[in-house]
Amino acid sequence: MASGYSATGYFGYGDRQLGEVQLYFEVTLNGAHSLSRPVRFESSVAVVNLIFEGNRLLYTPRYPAGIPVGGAGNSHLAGNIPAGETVQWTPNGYKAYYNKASEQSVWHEWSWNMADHPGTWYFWAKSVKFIDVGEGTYHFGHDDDLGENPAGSGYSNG
Amino acid sequence: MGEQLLGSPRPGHGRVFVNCTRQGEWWASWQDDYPDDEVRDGEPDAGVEDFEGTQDEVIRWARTRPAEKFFIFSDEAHAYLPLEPADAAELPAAAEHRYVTARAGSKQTVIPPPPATPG
Repeated sequence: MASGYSATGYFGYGDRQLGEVQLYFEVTLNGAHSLSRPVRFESSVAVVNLIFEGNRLLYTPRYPAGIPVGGAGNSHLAGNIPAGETVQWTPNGYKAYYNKASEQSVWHEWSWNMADHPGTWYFWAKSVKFIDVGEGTYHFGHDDDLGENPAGSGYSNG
Repeated sequence: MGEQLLGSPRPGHGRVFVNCTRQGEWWASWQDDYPDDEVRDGEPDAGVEDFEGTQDEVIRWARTRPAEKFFIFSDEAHAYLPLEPADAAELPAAAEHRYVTARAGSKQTVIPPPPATPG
């Protein structure tokens, strides 16, 4: 079974919009092993230092928005991306294994810089939650089973 | 950040799962959780090996792992079913279940699985 996320995002500097991005990822589960592929990005303007990040999140009553699973994170530097070019987390996407929490999801973030503006722009999103159904297997919940803060975006000047 | 620290599955232990992505990519994963009393600090607590390829290649790989249990995902059952030995009857339908979620002002859709086809 699989769950996909797609979004259109807009980013700018000051009060000026710089571009539009298309974001997508799809997660397939195999037992407690997750495969995120494709993890995709496309921008209407050229960006530099595009980074894909991924992690597994676990949920408990204390952490309704999920917390990262230690040691399960990974990242991929996609580099400089021309306008209009769709790029993926290559060569194989993001894989992770964890079965010590009954409710989990997969988190992905896309971050990049601009050649002629300072700072870093980022978008992130979590997959639909998946639930332990026994025998080491997990099933995705309904498409609105997202937990708190399922997606977000921002800018850092660092 | 780098690859997740995982060990190798132990012969005679663990489960092998077979599934197929929406893109039609077949994928098998052998997963073995080590006993707590055998795991030291800083060492992996599970062994995982996986393999991708054609349906035949993946199922062949899965069946030849020296694991304890074997499963394949069935859309019809919406669950994992036992992966029968090579000389058993036909396999269940491949995974085609689709959840499409959109956020940040985009549409949100659930696409039901296609009807299973015989054979």
